[in-house]
Amino acid sequence: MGLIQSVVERAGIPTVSISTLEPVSRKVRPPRVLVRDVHLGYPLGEPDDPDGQSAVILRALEMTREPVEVPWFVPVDEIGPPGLRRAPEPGFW
Amino acid sequence: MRTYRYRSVDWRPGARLRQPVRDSRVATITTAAFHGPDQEPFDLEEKGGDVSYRVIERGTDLATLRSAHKSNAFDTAGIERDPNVALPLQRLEDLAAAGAIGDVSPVHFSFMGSISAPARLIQRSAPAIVRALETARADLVLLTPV
Repeated sequence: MGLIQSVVERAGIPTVSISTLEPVSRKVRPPRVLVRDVHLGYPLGEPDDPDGQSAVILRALEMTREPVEVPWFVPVDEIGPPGLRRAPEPGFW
Repeated sequence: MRTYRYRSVDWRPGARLRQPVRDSRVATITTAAFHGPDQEPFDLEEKGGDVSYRVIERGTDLATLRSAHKSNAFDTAGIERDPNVALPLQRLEDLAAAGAIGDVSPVHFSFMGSISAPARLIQRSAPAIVRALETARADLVLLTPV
């Protein structure tokens, strides 16, 4: 999924993914990832929880407002303005 | 998952949403392996993984979707009970109605995931998705791997 995300982002369409497997996402290195500590198969949380699902969606979508230069991982409960991510480490790609 | 050879695609310099989310059209992509009642299920036996995708149109009755995932790696009970857990089309409609997002894309996309040989995914499927997103005039994309 991170590969598709990266291709879409490269084409100029901003993207964000919701990951329940942060270690895997960090290997694929897509641009923006909202990290959730939930069971596999439940990226938006519990079934039949419209309010909870909508809150996660909006938090993720807001991330696309931010320009990124390196993969940006945010725990779902992180708050506050993220700012521009700069300066990838040498040999990052 | 240790057998996977993880690949990356250099997406830099990256994109950025230029207008507020409330003015933007949102599309989603999932790896929940959903297919509609008139669509072929994903091929669980394809070597390297099935890199095809299914277009899920806006307004699709989520109750009609089926997931091809049969893996024991994760619990599919949630997405079977409420597909919004991985393909939140009804949530996007709710958010659009509330003015929190601008609009819902007319098309969304379902993949299988678990692709161990991703070259065809990168070279064929993903560019086709980009073209479809551009045609749909999607402003941003939410991806929900399961």
